[in-house]
Amino acid sequence: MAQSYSLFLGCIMPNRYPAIESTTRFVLDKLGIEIKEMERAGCCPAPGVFRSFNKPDWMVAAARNLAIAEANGADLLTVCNGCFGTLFEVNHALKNDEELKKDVNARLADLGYHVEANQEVKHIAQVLGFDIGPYGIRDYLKRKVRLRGAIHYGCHFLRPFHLKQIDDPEDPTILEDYFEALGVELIDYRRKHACCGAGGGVRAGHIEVSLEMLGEKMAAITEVGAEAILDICPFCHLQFDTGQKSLNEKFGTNFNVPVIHISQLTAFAMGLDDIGLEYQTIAPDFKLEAVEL
Amino acid sequence: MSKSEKKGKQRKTRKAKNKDEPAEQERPRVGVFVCHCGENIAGVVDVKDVAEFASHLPNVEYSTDYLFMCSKQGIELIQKAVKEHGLNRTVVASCSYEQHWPTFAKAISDLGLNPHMHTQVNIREWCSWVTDDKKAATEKAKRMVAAGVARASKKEPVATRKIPITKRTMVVGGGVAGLRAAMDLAELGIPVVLVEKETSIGGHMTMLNKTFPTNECPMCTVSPLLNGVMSHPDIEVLTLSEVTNVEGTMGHFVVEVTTKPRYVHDNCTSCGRCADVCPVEVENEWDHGFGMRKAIYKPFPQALPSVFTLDTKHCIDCGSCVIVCPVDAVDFSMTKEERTFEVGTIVVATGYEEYDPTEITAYHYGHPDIITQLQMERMLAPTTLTKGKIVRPSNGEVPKTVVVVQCVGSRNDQVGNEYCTGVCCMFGIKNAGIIKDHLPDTEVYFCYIDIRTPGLYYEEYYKRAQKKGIRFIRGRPSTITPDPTGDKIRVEVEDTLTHMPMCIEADLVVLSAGMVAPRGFGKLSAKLELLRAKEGFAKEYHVKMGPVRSSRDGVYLAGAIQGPKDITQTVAHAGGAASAAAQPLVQGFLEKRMDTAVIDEELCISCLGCVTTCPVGAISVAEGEKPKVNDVACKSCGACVPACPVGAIQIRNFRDSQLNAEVSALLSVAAELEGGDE
Amino acid sequence: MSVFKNPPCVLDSGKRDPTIEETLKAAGFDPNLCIQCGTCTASCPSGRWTAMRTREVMRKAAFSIEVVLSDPDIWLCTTCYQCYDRCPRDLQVTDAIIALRNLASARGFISDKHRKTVDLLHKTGHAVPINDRIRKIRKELGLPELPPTVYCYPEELEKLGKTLFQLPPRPEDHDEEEER
Repeated sequence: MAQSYSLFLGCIMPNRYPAIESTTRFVLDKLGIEIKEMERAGCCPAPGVFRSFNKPDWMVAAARNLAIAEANGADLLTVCNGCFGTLFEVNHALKNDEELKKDVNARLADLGYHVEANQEVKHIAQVLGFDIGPYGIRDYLKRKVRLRGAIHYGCHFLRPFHLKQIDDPEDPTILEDYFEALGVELIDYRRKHACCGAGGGVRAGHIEVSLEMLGEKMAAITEVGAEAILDICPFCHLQFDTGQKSLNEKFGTNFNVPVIHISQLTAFAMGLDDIGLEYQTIAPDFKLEAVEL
Repeated sequence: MSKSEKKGKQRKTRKAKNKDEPAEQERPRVGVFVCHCGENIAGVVDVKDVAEFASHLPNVEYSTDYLFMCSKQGIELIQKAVKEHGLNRTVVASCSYEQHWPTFAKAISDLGLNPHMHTQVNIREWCSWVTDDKKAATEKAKRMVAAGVARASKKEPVATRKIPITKRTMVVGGGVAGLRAAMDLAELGIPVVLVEKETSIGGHMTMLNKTFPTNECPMCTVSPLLNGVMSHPDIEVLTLSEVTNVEGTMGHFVVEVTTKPRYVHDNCTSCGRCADVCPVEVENEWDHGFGMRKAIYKPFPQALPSVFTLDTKHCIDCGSCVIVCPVDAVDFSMTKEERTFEVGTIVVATGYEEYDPTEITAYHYGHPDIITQLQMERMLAPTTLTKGKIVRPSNGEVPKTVVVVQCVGSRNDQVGNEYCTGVCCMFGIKNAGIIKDHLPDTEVYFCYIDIRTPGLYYEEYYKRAQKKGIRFIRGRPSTITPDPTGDKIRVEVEDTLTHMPMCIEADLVVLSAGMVAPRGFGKLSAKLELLRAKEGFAKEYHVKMGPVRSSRDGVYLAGAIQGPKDITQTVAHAGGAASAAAQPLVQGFLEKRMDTAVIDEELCISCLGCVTTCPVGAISVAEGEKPKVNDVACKSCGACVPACPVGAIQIRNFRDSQLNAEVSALLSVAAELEGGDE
Repeated sequence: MSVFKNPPCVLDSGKRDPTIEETLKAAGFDPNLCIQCGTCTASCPSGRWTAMRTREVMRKAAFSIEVVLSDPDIWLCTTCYQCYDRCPRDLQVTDAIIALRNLASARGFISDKHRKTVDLLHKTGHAVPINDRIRKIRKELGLPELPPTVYCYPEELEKLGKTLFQLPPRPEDHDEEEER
């Protein structure tokens, strides 16, 4: 039986960066992975803001999303670190705490759902970087890219480590190996594994602080002459894409580094020309350069 | 020609006649070896220049420099030079006599030369380490080498003699350190005299309620050792006793011990009837204010020897105890006893004393609700007045808030104790935890400057205490004051981690007073001629390589008298001291170098100045004869030399002629270096 | 006279509100086990740009200093989990901050900006809702104009809104302008 996943859309991908959604669908299709739609799914809800206001409510809302994936009979796949953070954590908590599961289900019943927490929650970067892997992906590539890229992992893909156990968050290699397989020349920069500044409700609540943190990262990325930022999370994506414009307006900087999601770059290497960079705020005219195999 | 030179010349003519004078030797052939000691010397001193300079000195046949003279290669270099150049004296310009004279002396003695033909010149501690001025250091090194060569040229071979020694040790102090040392020595078959000034053995450990990091009962853990020492056939235990005089040297100490009368004979069965009838009740010193005793008493039930003691200071001579004693053990006629013991080595294990916080007046120690940790230990003991319950001494109520205060008398320049006791964090945490265990509803605050819990299981112990809910406040209280408007104790402290001053209204304050050298150790150390550190503890021979040796040969240090230690460290240290003290006794003899005093009988006028001056009584005189030196007893101190009006007594290899040569060379080289002619 | 009895800058150990400490403990942060080493502060990307000191937040919380709940500091955490992953005592720092935020929220200390995200969630089911421009782009990219999320199911959305994230009002004496 072919691999299938319940694709969790979340908010920012479908509602701000639909090209990440279209390229994700393209990539999964090329990989022969069946997508099960998650009708009625909503916000994950975000681990920064909503968990902060009311953790039990946040759990119920997340469990509802898990329940939709369970009804599909296919593991849940996210394309976003934030969604991954929430859904992985809640799924993990429910798996390991029967009492909690009972309480959550009691509240879910009122909404017409039931959760078992018997499936996995996965991140697209895990599927591409680990399940398919840097060697496996070669079979699907139509071309490579010529690009000096700076990787941004974001936070919730690898942390907290004791829950995720995907790669060492202090010195991971999963994305490096993968992007290298797509032809990217990787470029290291200071505080590479630091936060983009968007999470935790800081972007929503304290935009100036959020931008300052982004500015620190952008200065480091610009300093080493990266041609693009490679990320795996639509929220980081939003922060880098619109944030550079805000920084330029607010501080008179001239940051202009395009941001490319792992699905977008993979789709390009699989032969898709339009990966939607033209819809982005920063460097809409940026064109990826292909290297024939 | 000066008068003294003439005299020297005269003496030289007689030299051949006297067998104690250095015989005419073959012409000195000196080798000079200048060590770089890595960068230690070569970083400041131009060693090549010094070696070159030395090659032109009188009697020098060979001169060189090398990176590390003490290395195997360095020693082989010296031995090769001795053989190839027919050297009969060596001068190594490197580090101290203590550090490497034995190394190089052995190197030449392996080739058949007398080891005393090696001269050590210290151009490290005395030269390169004390200046950055390369030119001056190089010049000084040259002078020192020249002086060393002059001295070496005059040196005489000296015999090394094996001296049998007394196979017995004295251990001073009957705390856990002394007990451990005594037991280890006795188990090696060495007879031990254990001297304890209190009425019973065991020391501070027997006062403690629990020991960290396992919270074991200290009495349970130490009692096998206590019983073992008491019953060991090779250990003689003297309680109520103090060392009053020490004579002799390593291998043959003669120690006088004075024992105070106990007024109870050893046939006491410890039945306690005497104490039952005794009408006098006084504070029990052992309990530090938390227990009472009678005038005839045992300080605590398990005290050993299990014999009562009559305290004549408080006794009213009613005689009730004498009447009631079923074995007639009480005896008012007992008197002070003085005994002398011959021992080969001595172990000093006199422990520590808890710092008395009275002088830190801001802390108001003396208030009944402000106590020390040792008092806390006694409060927790089931045998004291509180029966092990934690109460406010002022009113007997259960304290709702307790503050433990660290670094009382430690890390405090004002009271003269710069050092960190290093143990208080652990015993402070221990008692804070015990208070919390006993009284879970009581808030326990722990005010500290730094937490120092190094090593295996100690940080874990701290963490466990944190888990119990003790409030750790990083800050040293400025004042601990009884509230004039209530019965609380106000502890004013900053929580430096929130930058907030706070005032804790405490019911009980426990001061973690540091460990200081015991009172009275000054007297004992003077008798033993021990060096003390400025903090009052006995100074070890070397901080790294000789922590159990004292400054004096044959006297060893065990436990906290060398510096504050916890029980684990004390026991290990005492074991080391026992092993060091046993070593010469097991060997059975001492090797003594005979660079001792020697009398030229022809010059001697029998004034007996030397006999009366000698501090160790090594010179004696028989009727109608010239004085004679006991080589074994002589310590080569040289006090006799200036006492002799005619220069008849000299120390071998420290003779006037040898020292004069050394000094002259030092000065004449100075002139040369300054460019002048002699 | 009573004004002078309790200086405001002195930590009053007698007035400890145990709620905050208990909240921390429940979240996996026993404040007594914290050794105040500052690894958290040094790890914090926010603290590089603000006065937020994670270590100090934890210390104040341990003393139940209530201002921790009304100050903006706890809201400057991006939940990056670096402090959490690096804590030498293995304390769950980020979770503790979330727990403090929950407590602050329960007392109404939620900024207007954050309240807006909850409004959006209630109205659209998304923290970031769709707009006309994106609908157009979705079509251009060959995607359905509207993703089949809960936004398309108004009745269920209404029910969710009534069930989840009903935020308590702001305390009257709390001025949001103080927050930054």
